[in-house]
Amino acid sequence: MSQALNILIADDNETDRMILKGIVQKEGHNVILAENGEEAVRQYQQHRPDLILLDVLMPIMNGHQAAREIKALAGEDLVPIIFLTSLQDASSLATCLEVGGDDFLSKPYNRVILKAKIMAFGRMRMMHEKIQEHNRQMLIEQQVAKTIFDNVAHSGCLELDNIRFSLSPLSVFNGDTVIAERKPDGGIHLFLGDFTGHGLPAAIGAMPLAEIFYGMTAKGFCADEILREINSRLRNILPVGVFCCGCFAELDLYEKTIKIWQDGLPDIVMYRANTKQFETIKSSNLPLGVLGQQQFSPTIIELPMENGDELFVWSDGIIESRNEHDEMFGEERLLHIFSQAKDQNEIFNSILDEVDSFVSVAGADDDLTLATVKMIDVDTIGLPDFESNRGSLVGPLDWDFDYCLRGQSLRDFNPLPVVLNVLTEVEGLRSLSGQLYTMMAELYSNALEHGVLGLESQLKASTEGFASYYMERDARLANLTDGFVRIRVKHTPSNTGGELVLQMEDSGQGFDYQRYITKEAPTEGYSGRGIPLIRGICHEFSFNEIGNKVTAKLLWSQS
Amino acid sequence: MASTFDINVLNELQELLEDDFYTLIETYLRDVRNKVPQLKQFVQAEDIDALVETAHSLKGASINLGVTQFSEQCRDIEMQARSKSHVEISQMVEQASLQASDLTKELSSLYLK
Repeated sequence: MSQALNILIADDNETDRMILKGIVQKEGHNVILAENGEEAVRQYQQHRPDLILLDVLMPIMNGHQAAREIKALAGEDLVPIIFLTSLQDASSLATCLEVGGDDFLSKPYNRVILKAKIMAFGRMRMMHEKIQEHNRQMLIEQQVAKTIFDNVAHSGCLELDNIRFSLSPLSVFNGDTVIAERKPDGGIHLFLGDFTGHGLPAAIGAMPLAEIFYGMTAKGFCADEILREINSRLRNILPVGVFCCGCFAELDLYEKTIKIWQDGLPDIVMYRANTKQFETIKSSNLPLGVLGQQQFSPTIIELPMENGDELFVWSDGIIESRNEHDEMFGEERLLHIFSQAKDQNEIFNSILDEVDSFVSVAGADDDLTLATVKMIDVDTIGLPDFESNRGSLVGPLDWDFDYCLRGQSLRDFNPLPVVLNVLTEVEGLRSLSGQLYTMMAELYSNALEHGVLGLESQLKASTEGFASYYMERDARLANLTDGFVRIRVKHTPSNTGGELVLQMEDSGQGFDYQRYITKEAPTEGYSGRGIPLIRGICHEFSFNEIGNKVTAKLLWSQS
Repeated sequence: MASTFDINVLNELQELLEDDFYTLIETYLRDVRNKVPQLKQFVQAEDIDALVETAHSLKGASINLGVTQFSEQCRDIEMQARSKSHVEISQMVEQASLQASDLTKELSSLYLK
């Protein structure tokens, strides 16, 4: 036997009330009585019964009106109403349903039928309560999960002045992710991802993605390496048919270049601040989480990007937004905004406004996400601040290593994250990791490109030369069989802190370092970045006679 | 012509309500005693709404007690009044009134000694 219910009986006829009360009590339920509609509403408010037996024709307020008022008071709660009726015509029965009635009971009252109906509605009400409880619980859980999710998936350096983004979630969770993080050298990684589906299942894949993105970016890994890691992780954890479309942008603030990897997203736009022209960039890869790590080979394009140039990326929700006539917003409307734009700074809001007014009453049916990033000078936003969170440990102070990369290693591997990790084990060097990375990146690319590969840096001075420089570099790298870059690092403790000596030697012919070392402007041509910065942190900085070995010495003291 | 009572309905109610059953019969008969004269008044006053409502109420109560024939008479009065056809309605009420006094006697002698 199910639990006892509280049942409100509203009937103006005393004998009817007595009979119903007799039946209901006999089944073990509690009875609340009302003699008219008004009293029924009052009794409902006071007792919140589980079920209502409601006569149609009653004085003062009839059953129809009482049902309307009770359903309005009930809100989300389920209060089944069974109309007591001897009415026969279809339209008055239909009115009973329209005002919120759930069932009928006709006279003469049949004990077996009424018992069955009470049990059925009792079960329905219990299920409804369970569902409501589950919903409440789920919402609470989702809110907590959302807080964790937002801390992981929407943090990093999105607050930078040169980045703008907008996420409009279809539910508590968003299947789209926008993350950005500074590289140790000050550069910026930006990723916009769109997981298949919406809500929690789509959002959950963003967690490992974001963790890998932040962790590897902060350690100095480049787009290619991070994408490979993300792809293989997602491939392992995502079910078949779930994957992540996305766009990865890597901004080099010194070289004024951008590397873009893109898959499965609509064409993106590079807006040129000087000429007010724009280029679209097509997707050329498969989504993340589809291919195994052997097959995954990201195609990354590289473009020059002047200060103020702005990259616009979006999820397909923008283009596929539909209005009430089921038309899509489409790429044409989107690109039209760019060609009509008078003020570059208005484009971002124009896109959101136009999509919003286009969709209008139809309402969005996909997550809408838009993100932009502008090229900027590193001096404007400063170097990233890698705070120590390891307390007062000093780490290893007395050590050295010799790391020589040859042939295939130079072709397929970036040693800088590994070396930086070793260096920043020294607590006193941790706060300098940005500068150290920049210095090493500069010295390593000089050693590799000008030393081992013998490329002339003047080539890069023009936009056309820039492209051919990188083509030539890739061609020479592909054919590289011998040659080496040797990284020697020695750290010794001092009374007040420590001394770091870093040596970068290559197999090249050497070059005119005097000109290089005395060059003042870091942006002269495309090469020679970070020299003032290196001078700023190094106590000594010198080349050997032929110019293929550079030594930098750095002292740090405990503050 | 339907029989005056459905004795099965009355037996079930007696079983269900036990001692309260007699209160039910008393209440019902009081209701009939009050409302039947009202039917006559409403016919004279040509108050159709009140006539429909009272006949409807008597009909419902009578069905539930298994007072079959009287409930059918009340149903006919209700329908006749709803269709706004006044022909024969006072005669129908007169017959129902006679039936009411019959059933009162019978129910009283059956249950209220």
